[in-house]
Parts: sequence; C-alpha cells; structure tokens
Amino acid sequence: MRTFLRRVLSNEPRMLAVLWLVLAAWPFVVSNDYLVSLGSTFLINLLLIASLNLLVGNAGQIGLSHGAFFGIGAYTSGILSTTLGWSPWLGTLAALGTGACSAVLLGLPTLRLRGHSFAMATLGFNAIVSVLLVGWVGLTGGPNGLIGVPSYAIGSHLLDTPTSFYPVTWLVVGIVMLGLLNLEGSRAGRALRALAASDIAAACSGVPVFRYKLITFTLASTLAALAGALYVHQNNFASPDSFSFSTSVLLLVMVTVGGAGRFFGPVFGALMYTVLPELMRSFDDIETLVIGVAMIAVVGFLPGGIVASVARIAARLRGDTGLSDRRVE
Amino acid sequence: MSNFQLEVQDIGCRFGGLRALHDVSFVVQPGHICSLIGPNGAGKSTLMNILSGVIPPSTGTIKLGGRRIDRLAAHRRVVAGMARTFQNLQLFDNLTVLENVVIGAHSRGLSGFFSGVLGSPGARRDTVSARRTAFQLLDRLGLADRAQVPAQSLSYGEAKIMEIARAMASGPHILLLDEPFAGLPGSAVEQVAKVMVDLNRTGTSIVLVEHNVRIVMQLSHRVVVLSNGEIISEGTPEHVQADPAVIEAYLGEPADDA
Repeated sequence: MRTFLRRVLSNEPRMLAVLWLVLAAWPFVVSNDYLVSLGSTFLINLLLIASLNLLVGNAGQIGLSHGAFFGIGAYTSGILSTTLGWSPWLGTLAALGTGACSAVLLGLPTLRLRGHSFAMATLGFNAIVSVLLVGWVGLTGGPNGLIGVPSYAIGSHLLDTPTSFYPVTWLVVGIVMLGLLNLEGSRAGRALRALAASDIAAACSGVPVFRYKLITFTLASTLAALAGALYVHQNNFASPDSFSFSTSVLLLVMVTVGGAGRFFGPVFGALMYTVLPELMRSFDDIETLVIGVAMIAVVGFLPGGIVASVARIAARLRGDTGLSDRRVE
Repeated sequence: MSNFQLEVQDIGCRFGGLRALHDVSFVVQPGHICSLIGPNGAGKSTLMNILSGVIPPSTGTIKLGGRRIDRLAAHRRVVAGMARTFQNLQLFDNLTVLENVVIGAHSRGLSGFFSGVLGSPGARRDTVSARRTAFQLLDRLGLADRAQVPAQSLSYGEAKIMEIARAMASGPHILLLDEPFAGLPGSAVEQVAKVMVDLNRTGTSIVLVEHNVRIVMQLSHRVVVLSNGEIISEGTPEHVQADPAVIEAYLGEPADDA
C-alpha cells in the first residue's frame, strides 16, 4: 500500500488517473441524487478553476472575466436550445465558439498592455456582460433568469437526472484535465511559466509572448464557456448573478487558495468552492466571511496554497521531500 | 556561422525630446568580439534593447547576415540568430536552472499549443531535445551540478552564467552580453571571461557592453565608444585607448576601471 501510494503521489498522470477513477465511483458510492449532483457541480467548478489557473497561475495574467465567459457559455447554449430549439450539444459547440470569439476580441487590444491594464479591461468586460444579461430582457430573460433550458439527450434518452448527467461532466472535464496536464509539460506550457516570470526575457528567448498570452486567454475563456454550457444544461436554468464580477473574483480566490500554478491546486479550490456554500447555506453571509478568512490564511500561512501544504505533509509522512519539490524537478 | 555579419546603420532613438542615440553605425565581423563602452548614460543599454528588439529604433536599419531584422519582433530575432543577456538579471525564477535554459531553446522546437495539449510525440521530442541541448550547455559552462535547483537559489555569478547558457540555447550566431561582469567577484569575472572566449572560439560573434575597461581591452577585437548617444571612437583596443576623444569623454570617470 505504501509503495503504491508513493508511486501514485510521485507522478501527476497517475495521480490524475486515480482521482478520475475515484470520481467514476462517486455516483455508485453515494447513491444519493443530491450528492451525485454535487459531484457534477464539483467537476464543473474544477473546469472553471483549472482553466483560470492556466491563465493566472501558469501564464501570470490576472484575468477578471472568467465569470463573464462562464455566463456567455451558459446563455449561448441556453438561449439557442430554448428559444431556437437547437440540440443542447450543438448549443454547447456554439458556446465554445462564442466564448473563443469574444476572448480573441477582448484579448487582442488588451493583452499587449502592461501592468494592471489587462485586469482592469477584463473587469470592465465582466461588468458589461453582467449588464447585458440583466438588461437585455428579450434575449436573456433579464433578472428573472433564463428558464426552461432543456437537458442533454442521447437519442431519445434525456440526461435529466443527476446520475445520467454525471458521466457527461466526468468525461468532458476528464479530457480537459488530461489536456491541461499534457500542456503543462510541453514546450508551450513551459514558455507560459517563463513569460509569467519575465516577459522580456521570454521574448528574447524566442517565445512569441503576445501570441501565447492570446492563445492562453482564449483557451481558458473557451473552457469557462464550456463550463457554462454544462452548468446550464445541468440546472435547466441560468440567472445573471451567477456570472457577475464577484464570481470572477471568487474563482480567482479559489485558484490562489488551492495553489496557483500547480496542477492539482484547482482540485482543492473546486472542493472548497463547491462544499462551502452547501455547508454555509443556513448562515447566509457568513460564507463570504469564511472565504475571506481562508484567503488571508492561505496567503499569510500557506505559501503555494492548500495543495502545497498537503504535499508537504504527505512528504513528511513518507519521510522524504519528493513531492514538495515536484515543481523543481 | 560564416557570414553572419551584424550591420548597424544610422540607428537613432528619441524618447520624447531626449535624444538617446544619434546616427550610430558599426559592423560586427563574424567571429569577432565587439565591445560597446562609454560613460553612464551614453546609450549603451538603449542600443542593446534596440538590437534585441525590446524597443524600436526611431531611425536606421539593422542587418544580420545581410537580412534586415530591425522590424522583427524580439522573438523573431532569436530565430534570425541573435540572443542576449540582461544587465539586471531576468531569471525565470519560478523555474529550475535547467528549465530556464530549456526555455532558451524555445525557438528550436516546433510543437505548438495543440500538440502540447494532445501530448503528441512531436511535443515530447521537443522537450527531450531541448533538455539535452540545455544540459550540454550547462555542462560546458560549468553549471551542470546546479541544473535541478531553482534559478532563484543561484549566486549572482552563477545566475549571470546561466543567462549566457540560456541565450546560447537558441544556437545564436551573435550573442549580446549586457554587462556580464558587473557586480561579480574577481574569481567569477575570470570564469565568465573564459566562457566568453570559449564561445567565441567556436564561432559565436559577441557584442559586449561593459564598464570594466581593462577586461574589454583584453577580450575585444573591436571597441565602439559611445558618448551622449553618438559614436566618438571606433577601432582596435589599441586605437581606442590612444584616442584623445575617448580620454576626454572618460575624464571625471576614471574609477571605472577599478
């Protein structure tokens, strides 16, 4: 068992495989609709936070529009499948397209700017999207939200129960996570970490900095739109306040709390982002307080986020320092 | 490496009303070490930034191996055969020493984002060959035993050498070194000088910006002296040292050679 654990913990692909096997077992283990549905929500949140981690944690670009792209995905697929009667699968593809196009249009003028300009521009973008979602009542349903969004279906079989929907997120998010893991160890992934540290040195080492930033922003935002499409066909509903600026900030907090720039950081971030609201449901505003305290605690006491601390503890239990030094391999 | 001559023609640079460089022209012969010296504020660092594409010139042209590169973005100049180090260290301090040098080999790879995401064989090959290149360079420059440590834990001198390794990883025809000796202890100066001479012997041309006049005169084939953004003297080390214009420009700054 010990050697098995050691082999798994020292290898990211194996760790991902084990995590995905555990997640595959989840609906059978809990066999409770509420918990299965929470599992899907966790996977969607993981998709959101892992994609934001690519942009913020790896490429070092502070993007504050992830909530907006989440919303763009949800509303694109939601509106197309509700108003125009498109298949939700086609709607999801359209959500990817809309997300990608908006990201390119937003990234082209703003990613060249230095300093905090990109953060400011994405923040502004999120505000605009929020206003549109609330104000464009004819299209979006306004403050009441978009209702009656159909579920995914395979043939005539509707995926409208938690247990039938869960495999979709499991598969989709699994494929994305594998892709992100591959990217991390590749030429492009390394270049992203380099330009995060010094974009001038990266450019002078042959890295096309602007192009890489644009591709990363587009990829991350498109994945957020994918998460939005999954979300809207899970809940059959979308409300503007799910995609506000505060969602973008919270997602950013979860990237940091989990462990920015570390592959498994978002797993912890998503866990917290999924479980906290459920635990705090009866306390209302305390949730925000808890998240605030967690943020301060992580920034102050847990450098590298929860994942780094877990790795350190695991390493101490095993009596070596292998895992905590993984990044330094 | 034979015909990669660097031709700098009439380079000028203005920042608002300030004239940082004016009509700067010189040629670096293939295989030469050409040094740029001059008092503080003479425009040496500006010239380095213009040559490497970090800032655009207001006027003039730059040719490498007969091909104009002054309109190329910084990363394309690396592909054209030019690489640089920085006066103030620009480490990728979140990466290991080996990974830093691997980034230097970026332009030699072919795989993009999508083959990276797919984990294609091409992407893996790129990683393997870049690592091999990087490790060979670290070995050659005497940093092999530090390959796996985080770049931020290097000493100042080691970091300067690592930047040279990173620049060399792209396989450049010409290497721009921006004050590689500044702030180094004597032993490290010797070591970096040895590295430079060694790289130069194997065919890499070098443009050296340096304050330490003694070492410049020792290493250079040609010396270009800048003052107030203009070339005031150019030639062999002996010629420049005897030039009254140079002596005059340096009056008041005799401590440079300390």
